[in-house]
Amino acid sequence: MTDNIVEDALGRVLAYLRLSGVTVGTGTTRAALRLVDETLEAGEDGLLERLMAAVPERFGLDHPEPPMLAPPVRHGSIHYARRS
Amino acid sequence: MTDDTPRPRRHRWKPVAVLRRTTLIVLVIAQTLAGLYGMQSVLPYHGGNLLEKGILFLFAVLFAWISVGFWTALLGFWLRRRGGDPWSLVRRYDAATVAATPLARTAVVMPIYNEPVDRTLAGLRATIQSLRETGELDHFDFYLLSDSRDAEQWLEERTGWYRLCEEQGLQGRLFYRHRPVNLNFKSGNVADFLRRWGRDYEYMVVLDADSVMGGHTLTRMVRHMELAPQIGILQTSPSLINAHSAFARFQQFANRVYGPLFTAGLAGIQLGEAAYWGHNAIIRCKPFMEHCGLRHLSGFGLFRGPIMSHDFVEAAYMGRAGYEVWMEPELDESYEESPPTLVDELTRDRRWAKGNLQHAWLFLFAPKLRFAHRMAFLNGILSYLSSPIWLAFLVLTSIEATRLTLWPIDYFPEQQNSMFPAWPEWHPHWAVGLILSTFFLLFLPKFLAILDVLLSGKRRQYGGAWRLFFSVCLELLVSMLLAPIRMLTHSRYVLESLFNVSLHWGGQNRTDETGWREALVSHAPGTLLAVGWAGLALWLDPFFFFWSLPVALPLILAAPTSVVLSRMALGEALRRHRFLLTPEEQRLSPQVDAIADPRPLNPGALSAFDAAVVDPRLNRMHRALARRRRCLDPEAREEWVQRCLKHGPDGLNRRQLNALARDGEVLARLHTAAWVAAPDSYWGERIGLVKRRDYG
Repeated sequence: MTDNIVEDALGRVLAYLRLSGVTVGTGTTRAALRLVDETLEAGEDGLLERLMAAVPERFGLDHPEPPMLAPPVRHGSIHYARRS
Repeated sequence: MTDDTPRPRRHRWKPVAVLRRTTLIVLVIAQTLAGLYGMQSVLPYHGGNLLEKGILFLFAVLFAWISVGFWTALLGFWLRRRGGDPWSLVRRYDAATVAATPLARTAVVMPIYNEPVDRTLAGLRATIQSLRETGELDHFDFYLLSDSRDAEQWLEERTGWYRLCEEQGLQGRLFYRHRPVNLNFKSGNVADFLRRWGRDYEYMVVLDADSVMGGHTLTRMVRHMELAPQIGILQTSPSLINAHSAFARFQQFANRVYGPLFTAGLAGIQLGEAAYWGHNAIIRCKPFMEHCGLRHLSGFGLFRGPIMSHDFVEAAYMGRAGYEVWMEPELDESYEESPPTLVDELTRDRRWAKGNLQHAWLFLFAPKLRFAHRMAFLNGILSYLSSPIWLAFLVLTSIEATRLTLWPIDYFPEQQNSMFPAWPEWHPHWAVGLILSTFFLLFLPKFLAILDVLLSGKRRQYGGAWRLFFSVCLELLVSMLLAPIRMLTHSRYVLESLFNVSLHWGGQNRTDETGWREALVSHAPGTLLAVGWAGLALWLDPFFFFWSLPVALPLILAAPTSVVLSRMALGEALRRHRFLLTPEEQRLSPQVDAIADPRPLNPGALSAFDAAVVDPRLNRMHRALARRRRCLDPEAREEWVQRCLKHGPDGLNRRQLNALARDGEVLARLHTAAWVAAPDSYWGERIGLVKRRDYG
């Protein structure tokens, strides 16, 4: 049985939060439900777009800087013998 | 050497090295002459015609080759029974001096190319954790140097790197560099690292994708390098671990039981002019950068272009610059893995064969190389060239047998200007004696290895004396089955190399078993050849048929041998019955334990590209690390994005996928679109997967 649009929307919000590192407990789930409910008030058209756009701000998802991929380059050179 | 570098001091090991090498050469020559005399007596015309001269020449090369191995193992046995080589580097300084030596900044670099990410990073994680336990982790930085070209592969590597950074708290200490253009293979990858960051480090430890090293060993190596500034490279002798298939367990057992004898002997002969094996070694960065640049070969065919097998050459150049290169078998906690199947080993050997044969050019023409390093080149060349020599020997002896059976006896050969007839003589007892003496040279080191284990009081680590003996007998049988297969395949590789056929360069398979179809197809030429040869032998002479069987039978059985040995179940069954046991299998060290069952760093439900699009944290990470420059045609980019939105990554080729994965703006668009995609669309289905609570 496929999810109805509200179930699907709630599932997406919770999955998004979980993948963003948020521990999804009762409080978070209720907050997600409220957000879905509020977003639904504007109608089902474009629900997912509006809902997912609102998630980061509503839940204060932080954007930690990724680790440094590589340190600053300090150019050196490889020397080659005149004849191998 | 440059003016500001202190000129290395000469050490007393040199006269010892000269004495040992001279003794080895004298023994090998004497033994080869004795073998040659025996062979000459066996041949019906005693080397009196061109064909027999050819047989004698090939026999001399092969006999000398196995003689070198025999005496090396004997020296190794003697040195080990003495409690180790008194001239080795690790015995130069007492433990307190070594422990009191401060460490220097060291980069641990791991060049990777299409390797299984979880296993590779499990090895690096084990090395990091072991270093952490020494309390000296702060002296080391870590670099994953990727040459992988598929977006799926390098995205997975970068995700693994990101998670490992978080897990180990090594942000800013563990780095990932992806090189989109794989110039000059692995040596080019390491050279690229040195050009960018080599000046930041005194030393670099080079690891292979399947390497693991203990922290205590790493710190000990750095301290030895600090104590002996004339050393350019210090190589460990890695033990094989984590074998599961029967094939890998045989290789692992052989490496663990016989390996110490051969490496102790080899190290004893080479001393400060050893070879570098390309990984599990520490290198002094500055002289390496100043003297070990690999110029393209300037010859013809195979001998023109980039050097494929770089390690021996780098050791030789380091030696030429006045630095010492040591291989220290007593440095433990150094591990690597065996290819899981015969097919994988032979695939790897194709690359190695070409690389080693290329060294012939340097062996002959590179100026001012040390004698020992030229001998190391020769050793590498003969590792592969001995196969076609053996094959040629078999061909000539077959012609000899055919000629004696089918042709009338030539009493007055052209080469013999004599009035008296040349009577062909046949001495079966001489032939038997020669075969037995060859077996003696080949097998005595293996039984000395058993004796070494027993005398060391370590038999329990190998399952007990009887199981050890039975395992060695089993290994002997398998090595006799594998030798002709390797011989024929290596002969083909040598011919391919000499005719300079282009090679596919790919990462090793470290998991899969060999299927019947693959084995039958790949071994079919050898099997057919062996059936034909054995049939001819049977038709000619029953004695010649029996003589051909040790080579023909393994070739006929090559496909089943390959399939059966690739089986994990057989490897595990042997382990359960405590055969082919090694010390590491019984007393798992933390390093070995960590890679035996690697914790996955990437959730399995999504591909690396899908995860980079869907997972919010990974998406942010990949976006932040994406290129700032955009080189794509906007129209083409838009078309690929639309295709990706509709069909996912399968709708794009490798180049297109690489371009999108490197574009931060595209990744952001795909991320947003994926989370609002209809449930029955490609991206909607991916979201459906991550909605399951067990994802991640």
